[in-house]
Amino acid sequence: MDGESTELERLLLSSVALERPGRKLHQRMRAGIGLAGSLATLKAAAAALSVAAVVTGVAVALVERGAAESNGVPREVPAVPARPTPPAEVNGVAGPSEGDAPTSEDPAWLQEDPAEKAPAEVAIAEPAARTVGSRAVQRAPAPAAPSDLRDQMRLLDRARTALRAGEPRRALSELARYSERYPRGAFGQEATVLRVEALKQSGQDSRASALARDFIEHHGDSPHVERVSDIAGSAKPSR
Amino acid sequence: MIVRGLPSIKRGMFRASALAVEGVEDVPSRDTAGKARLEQMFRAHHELIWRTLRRLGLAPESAADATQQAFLIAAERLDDIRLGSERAFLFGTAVRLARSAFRTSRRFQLEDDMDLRPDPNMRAEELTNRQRAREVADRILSRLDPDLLSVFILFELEGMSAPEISKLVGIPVGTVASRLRRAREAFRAEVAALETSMKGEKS
Repeated sequence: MDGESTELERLLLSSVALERPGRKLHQRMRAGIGLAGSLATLKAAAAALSVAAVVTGVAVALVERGAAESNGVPREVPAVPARPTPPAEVNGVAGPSEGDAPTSEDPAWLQEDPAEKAPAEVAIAEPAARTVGSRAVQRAPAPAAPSDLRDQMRLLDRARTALRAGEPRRALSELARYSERYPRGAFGQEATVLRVEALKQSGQDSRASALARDFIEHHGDSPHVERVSDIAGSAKPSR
Repeated sequence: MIVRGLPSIKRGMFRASALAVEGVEDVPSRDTAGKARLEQMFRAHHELIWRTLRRLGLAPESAADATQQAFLIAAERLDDIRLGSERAFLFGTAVRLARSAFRTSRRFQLEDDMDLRPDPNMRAEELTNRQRAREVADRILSRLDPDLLSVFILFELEGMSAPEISKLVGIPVGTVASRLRRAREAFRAEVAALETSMKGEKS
């Protein structure tokens, strides 16, 4: 701390200073934010962004910004001193996010509708969810407003809490609510994984493993795969 | 400021750009730039955010969830975050998420926390195990006032300077200094109490 810290103080502080999330959590965070498996695409796109700007000769500021950020160089804020966003701005809603409609460039989790892809899941979800899920493919999804994202997080948090409390049926009901409200939700993969765990916890082993296998088949690269692979294999005599 | 002017500039630019080869139009181009910025932010700051959430009392997985939430919130607000203010935004968001998380679980944690050491029979030499030491350190840190704790962990654990902390947290440098002093005093007092109890002089 300073020159006078005791050995115990230094020991305790160093024990926490060196802590890192580890590979699994790192990948999970990346996946949850939508960065998993898309680094090459992201990098190529960022590079193309800079190249395009140079070629067309416009938006010099964009070139500087894109190049600086893709190269990891923090850019000085021109003229305006940087300041932390005050609490009011974060908690308030600035308006709907732009450019959030899923496209072919978006990561798979943003495009796929878990309710569509997992028959076992559809069977378990409330009937309304199945109808909404099938319509979702044709319907253009609305951009995720900040309140939507928070609502999604809340629903999944409640499901997670219920699971930890040993109440899988409550978790499943929260997850059904999630699927119904957000058939193409940003946390579709996590919702499916939680559903697998809830099914398992509630004793619905065969449904759990079917859903788990389906998840692995469609999201084989997902860092969530490890969480469900045990369950996927558990009801079968061999993998 | 440049940020506000960008959308119209970008729309004009990308009609003729190399990205047109991929069939990418206005919205996806902005989305791609946003993702690139988010990637950069993640690489630069996610460990700081995760560690901060850990020191604010969240378990490793919960800290990962909250880190994810902080980045998703940042992703929503990307256009509003000034260049260079990303870390401050993420940090402020993370602190708020932690406080929100503890509104429900704090009571339980305090009841559970009556003894600083995870195991009342733990001996001093067990602290050589990093995991044990971390558990004890976190319990001590959980007893600090949250405002003091933030400054303490940024200075002592993340190695930031007082001016950096001032910018990050949004408080004057003088306040950083006084909170740091008070945090150190509180931390020292807790550690001293721990040393006393480990020497067998339990009350």
